[in-house]
Amino acid sequence: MAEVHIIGQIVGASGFPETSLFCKWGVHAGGAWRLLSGLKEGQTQVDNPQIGEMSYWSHPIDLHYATKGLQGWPKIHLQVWHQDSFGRCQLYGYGYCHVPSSPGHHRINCVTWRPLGTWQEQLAHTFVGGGPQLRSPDTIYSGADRYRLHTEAMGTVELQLGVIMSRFDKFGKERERKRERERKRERERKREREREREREREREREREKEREREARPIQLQQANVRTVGEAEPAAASSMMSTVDPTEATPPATADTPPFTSPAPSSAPW
Amino acid sequence: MAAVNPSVFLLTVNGQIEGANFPEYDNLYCKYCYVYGHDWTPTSGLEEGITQITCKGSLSNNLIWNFPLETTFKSTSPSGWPQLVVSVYGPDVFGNDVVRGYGATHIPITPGQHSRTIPMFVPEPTWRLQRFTSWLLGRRPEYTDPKVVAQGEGRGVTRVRSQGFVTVSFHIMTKDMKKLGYDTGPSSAQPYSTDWSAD
Repeated sequence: MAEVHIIGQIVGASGFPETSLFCKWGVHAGGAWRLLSGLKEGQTQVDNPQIGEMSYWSHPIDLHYATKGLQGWPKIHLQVWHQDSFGRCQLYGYGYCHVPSSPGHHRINCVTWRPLGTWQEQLAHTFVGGGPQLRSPDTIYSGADRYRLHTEAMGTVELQLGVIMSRFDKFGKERERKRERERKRERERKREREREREREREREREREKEREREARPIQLQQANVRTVGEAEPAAASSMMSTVDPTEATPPATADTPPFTSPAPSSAPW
Repeated sequence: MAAVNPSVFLLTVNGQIEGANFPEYDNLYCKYCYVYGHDWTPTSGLEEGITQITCKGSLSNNLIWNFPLETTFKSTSPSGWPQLVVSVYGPDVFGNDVVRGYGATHIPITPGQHSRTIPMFVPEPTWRLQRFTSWLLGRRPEYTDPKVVAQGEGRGVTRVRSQGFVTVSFHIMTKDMKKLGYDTGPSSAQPYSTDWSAD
């Protein structure tokens, strides 16, 4: 995964109607980005400058992101508010800027705008303050519903950001290698499955043969009973002819046949 | 003894706290210290120090310290990059030593020569009456630990007043950052590129 370090600060703001400003800031990144360390939002102090008209915050930013893709590069969105001596806060501007995408030190001036209401609201604003605010801060950095807004220009926020990038050159190659490994694993699994099926078929055939062998002895035994009965007279006659040719009575039926084993055509065990 | 596969990189800070610009105050001295994350360790040099007391010259409105900074850090990750925290003190009308400003800046990340102007601010009491009594008694609001200035959390409700600037110049050298895969961009445009990492 490629990594980005954002190290810098929100320096301050200038060009606003009043000083005594503070800033609410946040960093928004796409779905492929993961924040590893650092705070991705915060609020600066309220600065009332004694010299000049620029409010200085020097608010440190130190973020460490890891990413799988270039989409959704981080953006910093800002809301500049004014706090008066009584502690009341009033919105002075919204703004956003992309985090620089090249490594190194960068000075960024982020411009801001404030939504305008109807002329009645603007009149009330000059006397009482207040004014319309965005319902959801997403509109600050997205262009989706901007066409409904009517805004006026406000001052600029100065940021100094240092960007350190790492492992971006190996990024694409790593993904290629990953895909290669995935395909290899798929092929392996396929071959495994093939072999499994082969073994299954082998085992099926084995079982078939087992069953055949088990079935055959019964048939052979039945066959043996018949063949043995038929063979007896032949044996008896042969015995008579060899031992005593003069005797005529066949003793075969009285004698039990010497062998009860099956006929010579036995199945190969 | 350069390791074939280094696991740490080095950051060398050579520079000086040149001076300050405070239109309303004089006879100031400055304390500095470094604030860094868990991955960082200073390997040589001083982590904090105090400058001399200086006053404005007859011809210019500037206060000059010309105070040397020489420190080397080592780290495994750029997270928690060191910051220089500067606090300026000076006497008030009654002779008490009061704080005139706090400020912080990140050490530059690219090798080379850099100059930074750090805005200095003081915490401000909320009530005008409190401001008057603190002026009278010489007890201004101060941060118990100046390192708070280098952090982002907990500042949301504090009120400050910025009243001056401190100028610091840096000469930065790094070693082995490229070997560890960190790209910090082109060095600042000076004839001597001071990145002596053995690539």
